[in-house]
Amino acid sequence: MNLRHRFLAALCGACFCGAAAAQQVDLNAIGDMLGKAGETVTAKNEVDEQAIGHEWAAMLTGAAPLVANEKLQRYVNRVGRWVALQSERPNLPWRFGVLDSPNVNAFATPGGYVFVTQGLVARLNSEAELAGVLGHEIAHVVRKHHLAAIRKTSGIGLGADLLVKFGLSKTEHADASAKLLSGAKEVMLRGLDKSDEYEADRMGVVLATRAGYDPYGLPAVLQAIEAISADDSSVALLFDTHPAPGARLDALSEAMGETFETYVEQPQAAERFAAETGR
Amino acid sequence: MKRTPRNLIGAALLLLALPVMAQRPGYVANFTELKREPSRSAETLQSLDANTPLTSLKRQGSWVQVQLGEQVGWVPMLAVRSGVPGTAKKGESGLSRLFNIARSGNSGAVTTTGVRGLDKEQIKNATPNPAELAKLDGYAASDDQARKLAASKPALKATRIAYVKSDGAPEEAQP
Repeated sequence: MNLRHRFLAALCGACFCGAAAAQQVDLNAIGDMLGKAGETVTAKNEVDEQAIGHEWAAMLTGAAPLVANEKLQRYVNRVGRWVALQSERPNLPWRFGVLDSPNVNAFATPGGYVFVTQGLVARLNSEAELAGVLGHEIAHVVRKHHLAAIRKTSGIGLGADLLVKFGLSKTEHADASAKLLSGAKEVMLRGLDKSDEYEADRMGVVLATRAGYDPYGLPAVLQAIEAISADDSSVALLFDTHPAPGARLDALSEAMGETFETYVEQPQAAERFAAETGR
Repeated sequence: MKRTPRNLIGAALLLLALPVMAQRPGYVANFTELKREPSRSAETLQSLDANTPLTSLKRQGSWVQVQLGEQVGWVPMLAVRSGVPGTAKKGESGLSRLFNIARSGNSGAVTTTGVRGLDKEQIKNATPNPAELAKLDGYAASDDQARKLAASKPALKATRIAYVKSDGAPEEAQP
């Protein structure tokens, strides 16, 4: 079964689950995927999550293509994979991409797709900074923050009732797909839960540290972003969908304390970053 | 030693050439001490109240070298914020964009370079492009390729450390 079929099956399965368990009307595929704290992710749910993530990521590459630079893309994938290997979900089919956009931003989708913009890469100074940014996005995937966010939107999950009522036809498959797309866009435009952003910052720092990098890469990126004028349209969406960089630095300062000073001698790998990104 | 203006210009030029971080205006977020060296045990040059303006020169580990007037010293990196204290903070504020509209007559969605990318309009209007996404499969790295990168110079040594809660306490491991 290809990914698209898996995705439709996931949505359809979601509806029947909801109908069968009337006392748990809010249960749907996404709810199942979110699981309860401490619950092991089942193989089927992981495939469904990837199918949803694939649709979501295809929307992003529809908004901006990948930078046509194989060396850069492969480098970002090696760094990203190395960081993801330090996470609790090392076996996801992690995919990393640099999107051809001058805007400064980074995105993840369920299932292990992570994107950074060319505009953000251009503002980074080292592999440790890249690792911090990718670690933040990997954290969103590991903790399934996007699934939680899309579950809150009216575009997905609630549409399940309709499918149960009328059975499944091609039209309704298309309808489910459209609902996912509009829900994903809504999440992209509104942003995730703010507490999830702070959590991803803390986890991003830890993941980069686990991967052997200088822990202060992500804070350095936040300081650089804070220095960009709010009038600069390249940061408009980032600032609209995230807590202010200063607030994120305040939170990281509180959370990092002195704990991470032990690891400051770990490499920043600035030279390798410069060589691999063509600077 | 008192610096001459000429020395200062020379120092400024050198700093501009630094690859890692250009000079950046900023301020301290909360009370901290200006140290002679990047170390907690180093001599304190002066106490800095919250919002004291400074210029960041370069980072070394968890410390940033800063300049206040003619004095140069070190402060903890996470005590420093970029920009000017007291100005409206960015993020989740439509104020700056309202200002933009008033000034330029548009919402600021068009970049100065004329290239548009991944702004709200583009996401709203995006149609999925699975063919473009499929290219990513060709760029993907295997676990071995990732480990090879980590083993190359400068080598990255994986270490075990728990996630931290917002107050800095370690999180219990999750399955």
